[in-house]
Amino acid sequence: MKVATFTVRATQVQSERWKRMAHAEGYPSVGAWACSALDAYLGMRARAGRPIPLAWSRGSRFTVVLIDGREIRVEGVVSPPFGIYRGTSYGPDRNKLRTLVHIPTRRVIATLKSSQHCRTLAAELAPVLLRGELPEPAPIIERHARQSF
Amino acid sequence: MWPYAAERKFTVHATYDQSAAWGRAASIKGLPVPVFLSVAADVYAAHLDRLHARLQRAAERRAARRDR
Repeated sequence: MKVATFTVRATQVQSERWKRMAHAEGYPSVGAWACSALDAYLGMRARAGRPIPLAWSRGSRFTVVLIDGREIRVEGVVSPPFGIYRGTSYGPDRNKLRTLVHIPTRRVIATLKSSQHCRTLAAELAPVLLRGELPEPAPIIERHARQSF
Repeated sequence: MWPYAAERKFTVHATYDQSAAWGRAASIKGLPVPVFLSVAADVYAAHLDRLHARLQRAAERRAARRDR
């Protein structure tokens, strides 16, 4: 299996503390402990509700239910479970607005001024989804809509 | 976190998926991944210190109740 390698530097005090923690947790080395420590740290941040950085890919197609009930396939950027397409909840539109969609439910979450606003909103909603709450029109979405326009 | 103060080096191996997630999280903070690893290790070590201290205090209280 291919792996990425990072070299982490530490002071004497840090080194002693990390070695003590790695030994206490049962890891054979500080490197192995640091790997799980960072994963645990990111998990803690997600559970604390901090925005989660998402990776977006272009050229993906997904289905969205419009405001009039029609289901259409649109093309946009995707970071599961979110997608962004050019247009509004009335349909695709090459003007400047972008719409954030929750792909599993095919529901429009919000229409904002730019793709960057949509990505920021998605990053804030991701921890909400992790905790099992639905992305209902909430203060988070309303705040982003206000700031976008 | 100033690198010239560092005296020890550790090697951390990660899968490409892990490394991508770490890179995204580190870029939010504007840090390179090794520095972000160092910060996260310090935070997690502090969390473990507090957890072990809490468990130790609970064990001492249980022992004191048993002795009474």
